[in-house]
Amino acid sequence: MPAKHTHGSSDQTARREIGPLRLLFEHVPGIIWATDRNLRFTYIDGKLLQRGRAEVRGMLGASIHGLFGTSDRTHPLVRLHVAALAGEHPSARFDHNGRWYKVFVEPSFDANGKISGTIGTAIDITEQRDLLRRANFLSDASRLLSSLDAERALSAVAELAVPYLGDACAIDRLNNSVRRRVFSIQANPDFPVRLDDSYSMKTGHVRTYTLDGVAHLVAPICVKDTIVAVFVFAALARRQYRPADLQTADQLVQRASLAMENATLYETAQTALRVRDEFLAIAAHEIRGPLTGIHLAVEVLQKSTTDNAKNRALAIITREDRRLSRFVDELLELARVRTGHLDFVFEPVNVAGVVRDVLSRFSSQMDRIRSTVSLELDASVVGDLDHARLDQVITNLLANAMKFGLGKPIRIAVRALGGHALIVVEDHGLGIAKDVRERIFEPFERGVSVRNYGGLGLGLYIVRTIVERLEGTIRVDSEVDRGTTFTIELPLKRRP
Amino acid sequence: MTIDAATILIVEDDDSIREALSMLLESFGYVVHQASDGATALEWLATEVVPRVIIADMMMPNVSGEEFVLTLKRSGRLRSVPIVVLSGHTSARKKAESLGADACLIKPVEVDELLALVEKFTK
Repeated sequence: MPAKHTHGSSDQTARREIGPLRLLFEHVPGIIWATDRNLRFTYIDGKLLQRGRAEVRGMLGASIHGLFGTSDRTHPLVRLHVAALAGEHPSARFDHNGRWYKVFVEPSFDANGKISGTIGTAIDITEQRDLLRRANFLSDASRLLSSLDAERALSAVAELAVPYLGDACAIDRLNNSVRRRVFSIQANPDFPVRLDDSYSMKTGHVRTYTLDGVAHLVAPICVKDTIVAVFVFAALARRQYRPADLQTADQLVQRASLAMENATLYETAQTALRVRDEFLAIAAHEIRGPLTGIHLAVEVLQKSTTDNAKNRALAIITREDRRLSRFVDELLELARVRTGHLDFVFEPVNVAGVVRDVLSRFSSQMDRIRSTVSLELDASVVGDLDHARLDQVITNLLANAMKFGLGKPIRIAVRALGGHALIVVEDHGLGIAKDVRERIFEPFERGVSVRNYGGLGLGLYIVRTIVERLEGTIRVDSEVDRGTTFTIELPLKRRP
Repeated sequence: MTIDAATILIVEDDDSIREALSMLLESFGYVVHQASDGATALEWLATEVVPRVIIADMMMPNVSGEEFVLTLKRSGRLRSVPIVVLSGHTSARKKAESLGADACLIKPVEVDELLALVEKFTK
């Protein structure tokens, strides 16, 4: 920008001394000045003069001390000049009116090579400094967010962000749009800033507003388009949030969102590992039991001399052999269900007939547990179903009813309902608590402790999988100590 | 075996294991009493003779193996009866030790090891 201004005679003297370099000086981005050996200004950058700074204009020919209203030689800026007069090349950073400058002062030399004064340069580094601070802040925040404990990571970030992004910060967690403040921090706890807690927000939008003279910045953290948490920053009125702050907050929540997503994935993985370990422990137990029985019985077989003992030992071996086979079958079935390789053969199936088949297989067990079964079967219900799979479903439900029915009456009903077969299996036993009901159809879950009831916890999972493959639905109604009712609806005709 | 046969209590909810183990020990001349859960075993212990050894499963309904062993080791009369714990979980070894059990065998048990233990404790 060409210099176009009026100036006094001392200014012109300075300009003469700087000579032909003047134009160059006035076009570089920094501010340049020069002093003589007594630190009196001999040149002041036209850019400063142009800004009409009266106090600067009057400074030409005056000592630099005047700039600071003091003759204090210990002022950092004065010390730079003194150092330069001693032949050094000092530099330092200063803030002035909210901006940051890097100042370099160099000695200047006369024709004989003797130090004749100083040349000073000041470069505005406010933007670079802000960028660096932001980068540092975001990098520190990322480091904190790499923790897999999301809750604590967010709190740590809030602590880091005060006072950088505000004088106070709160974290609200959202669960089904219910807001809960889980953390808040104040830069100065003696003078707390009020943090808004009734703000409105939109997914993925960082926004700023002023409430009762307090500037607010609200930054929602989203996982899969759902707001899971919100950073609320508040700053006293002397500070207004600038676009750069919004950008910083935006980048912060992007990192926080990733961190929350990772934490969720980690939790899911941990749960899966726990479930797997439990499964392995149960599986090992289910194998070790029968094996022990067989080992001992074989030993008895070798030692015993009476037929009675031999027969009893053989009976044990046969029984445990079957138990192991059933267990292996269950594992294989699980593998088929998990990989979606369940085979289905669709044919007209009489539902009540299947119930009777299953029941006849259970008759000896039924006598032992003293449960009675009442049947309400509509023999006319015939559907396009898979006989073996339907058998499997009813077997599992009846086995459960007997296991948890406490010997009380069991009811099985089959009837037609608007193009569907309705199958009801009801017991009056233990019942299933609400929290257990929600996961009872998941693999490896069980409503009771492994301690008391064995099994892999796969029965209802397999039932649900088969019912879904038959395009039907399964529902459980239960009350603890009152009993459980499973209701299955299967379409009689398959969708073309 | 002496005429004064040693009594062994087996507490195990698995019918096959309990039955086979009883038959095996009986074939060696021991007198065996069976219980299918901890509660039944404690009832029997309260009234009957003190057995020379107790073999107990860890995972049982109605008074778990853990509670069972703890109860015995706190009882004045039964504290000194050796307890051999059976478990299907390898992690049970440490647990058994902390409970004060005298030995722990992981299923499927080595029959020779079991017999050696029983012999040692009944001497």
